Amino acid sequence: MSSDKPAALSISHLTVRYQTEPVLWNISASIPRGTLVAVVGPNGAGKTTFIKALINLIQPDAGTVSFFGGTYKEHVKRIAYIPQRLSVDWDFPAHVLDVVLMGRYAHMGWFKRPSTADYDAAWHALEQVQLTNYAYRHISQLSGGQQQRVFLARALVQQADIYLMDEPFGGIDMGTEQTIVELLKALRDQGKTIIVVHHDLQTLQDYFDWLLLLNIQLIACGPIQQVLHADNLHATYGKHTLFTTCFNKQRELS
Amino acid sequence: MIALLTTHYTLIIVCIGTMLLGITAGSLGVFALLRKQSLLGDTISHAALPGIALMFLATHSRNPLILILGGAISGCIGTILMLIITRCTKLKQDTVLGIILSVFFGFGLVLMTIIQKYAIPHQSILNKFLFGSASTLILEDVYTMALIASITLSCLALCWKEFTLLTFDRAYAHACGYPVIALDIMLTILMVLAISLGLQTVGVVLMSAMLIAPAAAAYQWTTRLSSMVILAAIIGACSSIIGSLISSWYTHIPTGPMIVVILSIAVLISLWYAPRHTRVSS
Repeated sequence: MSSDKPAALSISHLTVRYQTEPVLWNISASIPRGTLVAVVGPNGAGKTTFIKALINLIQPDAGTVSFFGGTYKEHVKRIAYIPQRLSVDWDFPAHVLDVVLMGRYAHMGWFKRPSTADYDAAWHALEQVQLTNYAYRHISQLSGGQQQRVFLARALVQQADIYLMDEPFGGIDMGTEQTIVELLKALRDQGKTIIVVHHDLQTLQDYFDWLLLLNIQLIACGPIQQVLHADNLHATYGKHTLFTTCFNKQRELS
Repeated sequence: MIALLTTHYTLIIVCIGTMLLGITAGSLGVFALLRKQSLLGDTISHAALPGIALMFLATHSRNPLILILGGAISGCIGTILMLIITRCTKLKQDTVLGIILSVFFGFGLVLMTIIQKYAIPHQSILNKFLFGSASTLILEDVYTMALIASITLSCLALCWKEFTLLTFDRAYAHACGYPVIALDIMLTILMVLAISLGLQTVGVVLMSAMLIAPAAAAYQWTTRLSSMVILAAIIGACSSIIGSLISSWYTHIPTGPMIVVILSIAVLISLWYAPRHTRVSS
């Protein structure tokens, strides 16, 4: 688990409860800079809660989280959060460009209007996610994959160092998934840290280089070659043997 | 021109007053609608009634401004109580809103009956707060309304992008480091101010329509927040002016219901003809 790179994110003893039920239990992990991390676990494993607890959207009951050695508040401008696509109302009256510009708001400061530089950044991000033709479309006219790319563009204009993405690949087409993955890999190569809640075990090895296995407790966290094996998957998914057998077969074939 | 001004002096005062109300309530209503807080406006305005009655009991004043202040205070108390009950119990927000609305309004009606029984002088002014009476507006009222309207609209313009972000994606706003609870409170206070503008003209019972109906109509026609707010303000202003004019001509028609009738026509037309209606029905 050790790495020579300094940690982008280190978590110690993070615990979250809803009423008396623990949702996250005593999570301690460290994630180095410049990694593309998958957070994987079954439904109800606390993946979304994990992301939300990192940035105080859910108040943890215990434990500490530090970004680049400081608190979340100190580094808030270096952190980009990409919520689940369906967490917002896409009938909201806004054009695609308006939503992407929202990513610049925190940089502009209070009471200020977007400048030309902000618009340039937004257009550049739209180019990156291949949505320039949609800039003046109403957001309700977008497909699921396009909506997800709008959210990604909004995060890109934040020019953050760490990206927290909650299920970016949920309900989107393969083409969009590839576009997003390529973008994330490019970001990683620039030294950014990207933490992604992910569902598809098949694509883990192709997409990611770091893995955090979660099922209320932390099962494992480390480089994907070391962590991704049948025992860990078994520990994460319990008796969901389908996953593990599929995985073992894949290993044998490769 | 001057002759027209002098002969229709009252009417012009009424038009300016209701126009200010329409613009402010229309703009704020957009945020209430998009934040899915349409019922909150209704609750705040109904909760204003006991405040108005208590203020009258305490001061025996017939100055609408003092009574409206009482209304705004009890509207705020209602909102705070709603927040506390939602936090501390398992009841859902719509249930709590329903409870606060009826309890406060019921209490207000009881107070009004008591006031009637004791035949306190000038008590008839209280009836105007139920369904509103634009014809009682005088120049000083319009000055006050202009002041409140300009404060509310300037706050909205100043914090435009913060309120936009809060309304579209609250979690994201929080993650960007914005104080979302403070912004929530600010927006609610602006809503209370907008409602207090209409207490005298439209009355507590129908005030929420002034917030929601223009927004609902504008929602059908627009695809950007700025245009939605401007259109809602225009619809609110026009409906208020038309409604107040009609109720000024026919003295037995209260202003509130008349404005709401005009607003409903605007909403119906929008639902029927607007380009967005196809998406709403699908």
